[in-house]
Amino acid sequence: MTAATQTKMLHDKIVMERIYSASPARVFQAWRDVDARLRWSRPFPDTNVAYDQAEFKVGGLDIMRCGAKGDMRFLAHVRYMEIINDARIVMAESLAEDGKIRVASLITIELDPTGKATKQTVTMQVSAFDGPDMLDGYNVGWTAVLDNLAHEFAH
Amino acid sequence: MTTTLTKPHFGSFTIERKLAHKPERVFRAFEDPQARYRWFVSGEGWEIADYTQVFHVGGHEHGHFRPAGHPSMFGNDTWYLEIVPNRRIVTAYTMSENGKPMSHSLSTFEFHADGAGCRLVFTEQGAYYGGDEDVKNRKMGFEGLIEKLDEEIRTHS
Repeated sequence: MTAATQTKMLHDKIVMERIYSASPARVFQAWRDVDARLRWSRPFPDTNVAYDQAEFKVGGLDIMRCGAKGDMRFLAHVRYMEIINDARIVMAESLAEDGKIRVASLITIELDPTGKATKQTVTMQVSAFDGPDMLDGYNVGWTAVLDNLAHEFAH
Repeated sequence: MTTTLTKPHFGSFTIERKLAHKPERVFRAFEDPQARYRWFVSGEGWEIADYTQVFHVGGHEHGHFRPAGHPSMFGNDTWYLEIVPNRRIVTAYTMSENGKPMSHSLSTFEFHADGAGCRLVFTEQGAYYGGDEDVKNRKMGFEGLIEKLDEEIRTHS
């Protein structure tokens, strides 16, 4: 029996832009504040997110679990690499499913004032370890949560 | 008056090399701190001010260095995201100049068995704050490092 060939990694860059009716400071606060994240970072109503650890500072590490209620199979580690208040966050994320890391990404969030609103650009440079479905997951999941984030500023 | 932030530009590159050493042997040159110091950390004409090496997931490796006589001090902060022995190493790292970030990168080394040797695949995806030459210069830097890796293994069996 031949040794299994290692799957070649897939790399992609995903850019998502949004305009939010809030100042950059307010949008930044929604990224910083864990309670806010628990509200907007659940991609779908039947997914749960829980934080085991949150350290919003350069070199700090967030550890969170997410997944369908009763099956929180995803474990995310987020390392903060740069934080400029009200303007920019750069972080490195690795996502494991059932204990095995399946994807890693460098995520850059830029907040630019535009009138009284904020133009938010999220650039995700993604490395998927074993096939394209995690790239699809990033596209679908992040589209949903960035749409959810708009609701933080609806009042 | 507000200062304008430098915006990052995003790029990536891949380097593939066929090495005449098995994946296990290549991986060992990463895992062994003395070997890695020789091919990755130290360099001719470079002063290493300080360097703390680690090699485990979640570990933070960091150091400061400069080309001899250079007025600036450069820094590297690396976090290990994933290590699969003999197969894959994934890191996120920041290069800085006098404490100010120059770039942030996601980097992956893949070790693929290839006959009696190893096909090494290095990919970097990064956010760079310099200029148009950033990606080209970084790629050249890593091409040089992989040459040093090959030499390290050939001369220290």
